[in-house]
Amino acid sequence: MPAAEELTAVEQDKLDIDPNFDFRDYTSVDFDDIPLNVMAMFKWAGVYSQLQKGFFMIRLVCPGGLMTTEQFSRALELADQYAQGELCITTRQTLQFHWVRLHDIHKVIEGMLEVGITTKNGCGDVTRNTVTCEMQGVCPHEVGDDVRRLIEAIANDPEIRDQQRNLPRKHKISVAGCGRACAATLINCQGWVPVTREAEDGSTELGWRFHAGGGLGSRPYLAKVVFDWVPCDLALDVARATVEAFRRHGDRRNRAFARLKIVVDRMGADAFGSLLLDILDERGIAGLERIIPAADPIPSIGPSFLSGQGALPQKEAGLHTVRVLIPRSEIPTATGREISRLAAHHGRGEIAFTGRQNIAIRHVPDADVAPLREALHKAGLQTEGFERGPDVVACVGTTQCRMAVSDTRNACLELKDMLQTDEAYWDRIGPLRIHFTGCPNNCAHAWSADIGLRGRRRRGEAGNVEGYSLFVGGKLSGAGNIAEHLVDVDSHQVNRTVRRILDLYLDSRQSDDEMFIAFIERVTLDTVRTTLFGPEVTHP
Amino acid sequence: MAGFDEAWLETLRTEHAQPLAEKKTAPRSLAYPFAALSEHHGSGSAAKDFDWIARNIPCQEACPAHTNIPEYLTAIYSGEYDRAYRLNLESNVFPGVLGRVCARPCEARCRHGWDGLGESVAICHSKRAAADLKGSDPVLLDKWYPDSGKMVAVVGAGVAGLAVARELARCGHAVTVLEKHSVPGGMMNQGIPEFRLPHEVIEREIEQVKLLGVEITCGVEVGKDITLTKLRAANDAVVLAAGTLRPNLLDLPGKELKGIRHGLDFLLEVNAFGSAEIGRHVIVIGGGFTAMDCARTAKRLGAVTLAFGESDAPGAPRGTVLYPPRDHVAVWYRRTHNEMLTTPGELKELGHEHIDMEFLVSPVRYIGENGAVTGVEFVRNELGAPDASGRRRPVPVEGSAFVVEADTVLLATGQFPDGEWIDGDLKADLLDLDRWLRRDADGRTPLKDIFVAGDYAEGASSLINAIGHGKQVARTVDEYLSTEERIRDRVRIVDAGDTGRIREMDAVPLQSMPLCNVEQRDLTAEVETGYDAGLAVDETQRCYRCHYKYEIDSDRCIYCDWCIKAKPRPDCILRVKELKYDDEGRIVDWEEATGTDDTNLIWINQEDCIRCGACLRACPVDAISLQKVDRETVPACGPARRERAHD
Repeated sequence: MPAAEELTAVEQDKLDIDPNFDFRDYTSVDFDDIPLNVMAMFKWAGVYSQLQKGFFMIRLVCPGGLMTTEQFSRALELADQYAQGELCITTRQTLQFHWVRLHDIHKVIEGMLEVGITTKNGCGDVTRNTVTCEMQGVCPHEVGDDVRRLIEAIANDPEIRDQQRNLPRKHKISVAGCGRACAATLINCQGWVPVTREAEDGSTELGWRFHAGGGLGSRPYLAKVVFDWVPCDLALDVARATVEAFRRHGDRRNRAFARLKIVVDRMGADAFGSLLLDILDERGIAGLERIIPAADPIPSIGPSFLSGQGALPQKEAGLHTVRVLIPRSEIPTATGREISRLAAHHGRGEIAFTGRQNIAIRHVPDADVAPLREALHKAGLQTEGFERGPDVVACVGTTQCRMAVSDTRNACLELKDMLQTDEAYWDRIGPLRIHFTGCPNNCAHAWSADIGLRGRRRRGEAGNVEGYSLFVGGKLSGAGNIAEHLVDVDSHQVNRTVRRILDLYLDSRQSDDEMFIAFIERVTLDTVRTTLFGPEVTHP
Repeated sequence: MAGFDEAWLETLRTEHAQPLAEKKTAPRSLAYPFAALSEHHGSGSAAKDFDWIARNIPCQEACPAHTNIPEYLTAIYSGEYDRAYRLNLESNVFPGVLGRVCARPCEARCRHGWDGLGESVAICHSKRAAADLKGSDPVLLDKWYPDSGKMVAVVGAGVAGLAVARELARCGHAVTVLEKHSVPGGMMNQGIPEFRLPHEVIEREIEQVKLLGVEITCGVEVGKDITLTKLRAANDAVVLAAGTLRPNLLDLPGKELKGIRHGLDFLLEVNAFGSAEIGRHVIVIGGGFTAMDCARTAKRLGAVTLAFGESDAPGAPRGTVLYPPRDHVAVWYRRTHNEMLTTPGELKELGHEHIDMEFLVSPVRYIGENGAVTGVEFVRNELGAPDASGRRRPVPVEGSAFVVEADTVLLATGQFPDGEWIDGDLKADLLDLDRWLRRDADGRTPLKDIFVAGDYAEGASSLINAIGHGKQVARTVDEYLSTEERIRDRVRIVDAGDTGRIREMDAVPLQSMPLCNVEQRDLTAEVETGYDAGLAVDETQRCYRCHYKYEIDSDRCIYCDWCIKAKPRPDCILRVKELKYDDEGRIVDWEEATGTDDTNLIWINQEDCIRCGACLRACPVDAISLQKVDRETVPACGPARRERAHD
C-alpha cells in the first residue's frame, strides 16, 4: 500500500499542546527551556517570539479596531512598563506590544484583560481580529445598522472563537460598512458587505453580500462573490459555516497552500457556495432558500470613501472623526497618552485604529475639530496626508521580525521624509498608497498598494545586498488587482526609483483626475518599465 | 508612447543607473557558474552533467551498467512493470537474472541507507518484480542502426559475451557467439544453482538477445574446433569473452587427494546432472558467492556437515568478487558477517538451512587415506599488526591446529582467465607473461580487430560488472567497425511538477523477500519467491527518486531563508559564502557563510538532498525549480539513425 499521509509536526502540536497558556507558569522558566513547538503555540494566545532572543511580541484582539481611551491608556501604561515605551498599530486594526520579556507576558495579558481586551486568538491558526472600515458605526455612507452587530457576533461567537481553534491556517474576516473598499473586503478570507434591496412589501430590506477567498501572503488571491444575498439573521451562520468549510477542506499538509483562498480558488465560488449551503443544511439551519448564490463571482467594490480627509463628518450631525497620522505605525507612549487625553477631552473617549496603521478620534464636536487638530500638531502629530504620499504603511521589518529580510522601518521613514517635505508634490499626486513589507508574508499588504515594496536580498559580488522588489498597480476596488512586479531595487535606490515612477505619472497622466492606478492600467506595466529602465531590463 | 514627452523620457533613460546587469545576461544556465547542469532544459553532455549524475544518483553511478534505477523503481511503484523492465533491459540486458543474483553495488550506495536515513531500498528485489510482473514477453529492443554488413564473432556466451553481442546487433552488425558448453549462459547456468536462478529465466532473457539477430552456436570450442586465427579471418572483429575457467587451487600438502575439487566444477556438474558425489562431510574453503552456492548445494545433496575455512588465494586479482584479495578477506573474517562478499541475506539463509560457519581459520594441509581426502588440518588465527594496507593481518595461533573430517573439499578460492586455447602466434600478442590478457580499459588488445570483455578481461567478478564491461567493449568494437562514435550518453533535463512522493514514504520499512519453507528447499525449488504487486509498491515507494533535482534560481531568491527553515537535514541547504570549482566548472567544495552579511548564495547541496520537496513548498517566490535528470544512451549519428521505441 502506498504510505498514508500522516499529520505534520505542526498539526500534531496543534492537537497535543493546549493553547490556553497561563503565562504565570513561565515566570521562572528559562527561555531556552521552552520547547520550540510549545513556543510556536504561544501564538494562539497572541504571543509571538521576536527576532531578539528572549523577547516577545503580544498582539491584542480589538474587533473592528475600536478602543476606549481607558483601554488605550492601559495599553500605554503596560507598554511603558513592559514594552520599552512603544506600541505598534497593525494593518488589522489592533495594537502590538514589542520587547516583552517572558516573565512579563502574563502582566500584559492580565492588564489588558482587566479593561476588557484579550489577546486570545491574536495569532495562530484561528480566526483573527475582524477588520472593518475605520468609520464603522459613524460613517454617513454606512448601509443599515447591522455592521457592529455582525462584528461583535463574530467576535463573541463561541464556535468561531473557542471551538474552531485548530484551523489549517489563519482565518481573516472583514465586515465592511458599505460597498466601498475601506474595509479591504477583497483581501480577506471572508468579506462581508452590507446591501439593501426592495422587499416584496416595498420596504427596504437589509442583508449582506458575502465574499470569500481573498488573502495576500506570499501567494495573493482576491476574494470572489459567493452569495449575493445573505439575510442578516443568517450572516453569523454563514460565517460559522465558512470557518467549518475551511476546517474541513484546508490543506493541512502544506501551510503555503493551506489558506481558505486556496480552497475557494481550487473549488470555485459556485462550488464553495454549495458547500456552505450543505454545511448549513447539515446543521439544521432553516431558511437557506433565502440565501441567493452569486450571479457573478467577480466582485464589484466601490472606491474607498477615505481619500485624504483629515476630518470626516459622522452621520450624527455635529460630530466629526479626526484622523491622526502615526509615523510608521509606532506610538511612543508619551504621544499615545496625549492622543488618549485629547480623544477623551474632545471626543467621547473612543478611538479607532485604522487599516493604514493610523488613529481616528471619534465623536468630536464640530467646534472641537480645529482645536483638536491644533493640539495634535502641537504634540508633533500630523493630521494631513492620509492616503497620500506621507501615509506609508510598513511592517516592523528586520528591526524585530524573524521573517523579514529588509529594514522596512528605515526605508519607510526615509521615503516618508522625502515625500513629506514636499507637500506640494504629494498633494499634486493625490491619492497614493505606498506599502513596505519586509518579507513575502506581506503583513503590510504590498500586493494591494499602488506602489508596494517587498523585502528581498540579491546576490552581490560578495555577500548579498538588501533591497526590495517593487510592485505597482494594486487595487482593492472593482474586482481588485494584485500589484505586479516592476523592478528590483537596492535599498539605497528606493527613494530615487519611487520618485521617478511618480514623476512619470505626473508628467504622463491624462488629467489631474487620472489616479495612479488608472494611469498604470492605461499605459501598462511594460511600458512603464521600458520607459524608466530601458528595454533590456526584463522581468526577473 | 502617446502622451509622453520624448525628451523627458530620454532623460530618464540616460539617468537610469539601476544595477541590474545580471538580468541582462544570457540565459541563466549559461550565466551561472553554480548552476548544477550545463543546460537549463533539454540535454547536456558536459563534464558537470555526468558529474551531477555520479554525485546525485549514487545507485546509478554504482551500477556498472548505469541502470536508471530511480526511474524504474518509480515505474514499478506506478504499476508500469513493462516500462520498468524495458528500462532495465536497455541497461543491464538480463533484468530477470540480475533481479535474483545481482551483487547489488547499487544498494550499498543507496541514499536511503545513509547514516540516520534507514535502510537501502531493495533495488534488486524490486527489479525482479518488474521482470516477474510484466505483461509482455519477449521484450525486444529496437535496433539503433540498420545492417552494417560487418561480421563479429564473440567467444563465450556468458553474460559479457551476450551483452557485447546484443549491443553490437543493435548497432547493425552480424554477430555470432561461440560457446563450448552445450547451453549458453556461462556463469548464469554453470556457477549459480537453480534454486537461486531458475534456468527458464536465463533462457527467456537469452532468447531476447537471439531475437535481435544474434546467432549462438554451442558445443564449439575455439582453440579446438576452430582456431582463433581462422575465426579472426572470417570476421571483421572478434571479441573474447571466455570467462574465468582456470581454477585457483590451493598449494597445500595433499592437494592431489581425491575428493578435493574446485567449487565451480562442482556447481557445473550439479547444474548439468542434478547430482554429484560428495560423501557425508564437506568442507568449503572460501567465502564469496561461490562458497555460499557450494555450501547450499552440498547441503541439498545430503552433506551432513559443512565447514568453511579461510584461505589464501595467491595471485587472485585484486578487487574481484568471487575471491577477494587477501587483505579484503581479512576484513571479511575479522569483523562481521555483514562485511562478507555475499549476496545480502544469503548468510541468513545459510543459518536457516543449518549450515555452520567458522571464522579466523586457515587450512594448512589435507589429510587422506588410500588416495582420498579424509580431513583438513586448520590453524586458528588471531588478528595481528596492520599490514601494508593498514588492515590487521591474521596471525596463526601456535598450537591451535585441529583437524576437521572431510569426504569432499570444495575450493571456492577463485579462478582466472585461461589463455591456453589461443593459438600460438596470437598468444604472444594477446597474453602477458602472467597469462593475463593484454588490454586497455575499453577492451582493446594489441590486435586492432580483437577485443576482450567481461571476466576474461577483468578477472572473476560479478555478473553486473561483466555486463557493464561488455557494453563498454561493444561501443569500442562499433567505433572500430564504423570508424566513428555512434553511441553516446547524454543527460536529459526536463521540468517536473512533482516527484510523486510524500514524506511518509521515507518511514516505510524495508520489505523482506518472501521465501519458500526450508523443508521445501531442494536443488531446483527457488528459495526466493519474489515480491507480489503489493510488496513491490511497498518497497519501491521508499526510493527517494534521486534523479529529481531541486535547485534555487539565484536571481529569484530573496534570501528569506524559508527553505532553510523547512529543510530536513543539516547540510541539504546551505548559506554559502563561496563555491569552489575545478577546471571543468564542477563544484568541488564550498565555504559556508558565517552570517547574513557574507551569505552570497542560498544553495541546495544536492548531494545531501533527500528530495523531500520541503524547500520547494516553502519558497514564497517560486525560486526553487524541480527537474528530472536522466542519463540516457542514444544513437548519435549516421544516416539511418532511429529513435528508440518507448523512449
